Amino acid sequence: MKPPVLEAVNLTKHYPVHKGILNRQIGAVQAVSDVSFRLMEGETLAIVGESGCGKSTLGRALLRLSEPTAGNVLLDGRDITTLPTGQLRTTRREMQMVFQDPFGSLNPRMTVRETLLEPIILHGVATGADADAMVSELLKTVGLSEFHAGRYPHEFSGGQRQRICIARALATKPRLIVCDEPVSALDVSVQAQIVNLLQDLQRQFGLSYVFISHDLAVVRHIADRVAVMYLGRIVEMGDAETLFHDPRHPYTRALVAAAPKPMPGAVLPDRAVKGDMPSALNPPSGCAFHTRCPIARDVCSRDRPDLRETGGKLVACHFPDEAATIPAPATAPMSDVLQKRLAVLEQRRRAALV
Amino acid sequence: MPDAQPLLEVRDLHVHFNTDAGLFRAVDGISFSVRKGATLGIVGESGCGKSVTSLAIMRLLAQPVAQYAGGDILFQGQSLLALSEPDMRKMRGGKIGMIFQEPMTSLNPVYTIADQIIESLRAHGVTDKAQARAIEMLKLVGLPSPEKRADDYPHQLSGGQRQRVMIALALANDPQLLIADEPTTALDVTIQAQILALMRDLSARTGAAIVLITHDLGVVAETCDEVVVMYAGNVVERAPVASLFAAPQHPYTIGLMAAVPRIDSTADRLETIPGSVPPPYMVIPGCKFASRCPMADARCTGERPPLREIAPAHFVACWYAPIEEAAQ
Repeated sequence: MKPPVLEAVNLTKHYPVHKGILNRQIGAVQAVSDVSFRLMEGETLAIVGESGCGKSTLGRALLRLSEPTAGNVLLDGRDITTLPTGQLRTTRREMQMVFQDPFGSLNPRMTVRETLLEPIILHGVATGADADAMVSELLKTVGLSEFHAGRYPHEFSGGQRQRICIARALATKPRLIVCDEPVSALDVSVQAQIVNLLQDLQRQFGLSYVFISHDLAVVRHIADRVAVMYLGRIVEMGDAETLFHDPRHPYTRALVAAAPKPMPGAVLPDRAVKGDMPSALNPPSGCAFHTRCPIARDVCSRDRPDLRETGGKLVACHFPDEAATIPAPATAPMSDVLQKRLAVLEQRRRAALV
Repeated sequence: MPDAQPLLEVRDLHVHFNTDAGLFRAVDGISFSVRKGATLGIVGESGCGKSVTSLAIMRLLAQPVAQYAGGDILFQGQSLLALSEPDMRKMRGGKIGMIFQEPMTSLNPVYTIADQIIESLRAHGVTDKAQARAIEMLKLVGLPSPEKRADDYPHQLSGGQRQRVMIALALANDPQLLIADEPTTALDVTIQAQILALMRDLSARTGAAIVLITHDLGVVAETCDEVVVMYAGNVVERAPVASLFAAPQHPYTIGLMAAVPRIDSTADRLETIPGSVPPPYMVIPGCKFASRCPMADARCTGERPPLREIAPAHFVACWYAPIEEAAQ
């Protein structure tokens, strides 16, 4: 069997906090603690959680854009945590990143051609006329045209810019792309286009994705497996299908319940999660979620539950069976009329192409 | 009939921006009304004019760059556009409250939150027991230990708490209308659920009407009584919320609803709306969605369809709705 494309072993990233004239370390922001997972070829693992849960830090630590405090990252079975900078740079060819903000992640003074040529030349993927041909090819791959190459980022819409960012990530022919909230800044109809594009590219090139997002509905569409993070730790991880169908961690259930559903008059479940997320500088004892959990007991504030196999998933909860009894959210399928009218539009569109 | 007159009525409003690149028709003839105590959602994608509409109602657009190029805004039957600036200032934060998207930047960082609420109370003539009233407001919006937190500065609060303070501020003078521009967009889902529940609860308790501006159809479905769908400065559809979600009429609304990823759907691909919004400076005589609409023909590109009532209280601006009949 092939080794996983990416493997994280007890990955930890803590940021020290200093204070006073002696600049003594008074603590650490425990952004990511003890995260382990495997990502196979052609697979999408979604990392889900709210702001401050450590999902972006995890994404950066995976690529060593920030150095992990402890733990290892293996790319194709090879440990990259200890690679010297030079070798790391060569390895980066295999792993690329797409960021959330398509406005901030393109150099405004570089044309699209220059933006795309940079990684091609730096990584020695191609040179001269071959490199230029590759730029045109990349633009076509992400649904843009050749004439876009001479333009500057400000001439593009948000969705088009995100396409450029994806083309740039593809330029080095990577095997792994870490997408950090790639569609969060986009409008719904554009978001759908980018999600579809990412799925097409995955099929075409056999890419593996780490897909970081706060939006469960988007994740539902793109992910094969999902890891839910809370205060730096994975609290539930499993197959997307089972995780959404039968979430076992109270936090996952709360997230699913809180996502607004496009169905008026739906019975709103009691969204039992109260209050805000505690600080990662001083996480609660035991299970970090116990301060907001509707079914927390004494043991939850004492002992931190490990990730254990429960109902086909890994769950870090002392009472996963009880969690399953927290009322599940209503579902919101498309109405019949909506589906019928959508079919009419689709038929028209196809007829127009003929 | 005391309720015959709507609380807020926007009549054929046009707002233009004079820019170096030309005339930008941000709001191009929109009409809607809000009843007392009701919640109206305005939904649309970036650039459709929904935020300009909210700023236009509050008269917060910078003139002369922005111009009211036609139409009127009536609040309790009185034209807001005809008010003098001092009278309008009494209206803002008085009878009409507003909540903005960014709770980080819409509070003053150098004043305590109680001071900011007291300032609003004093500006509207409440001088007596303003401090007590401020704390009462903070309690109402569910800020934990309000007596202690009242002297906090905005940076000491979390995003959700800041949005609670914004709501307290907007409601301090018992407004009859609350305009909320993407009030939960910057918040996490569990916090968003809390804030939406709070807004529903407060509107039921105080009887304030709400205009909720959002891009999120899920938020609309859970919060609003009536919905206005905007596209490129026009209202393309207006309907009671149940009717809109059960039977969307306009091809844009249909496409938008289908593009929303659903948490319970396993469909392989998301539906998209091919094409993009026409450039803002382009003058389009017909339906602005025509360039992306598979139903469109010469009539659509030549003549703008008016809003017509297609089902009880359900209005659509499309020549061919309901489209399944037109397709036959």
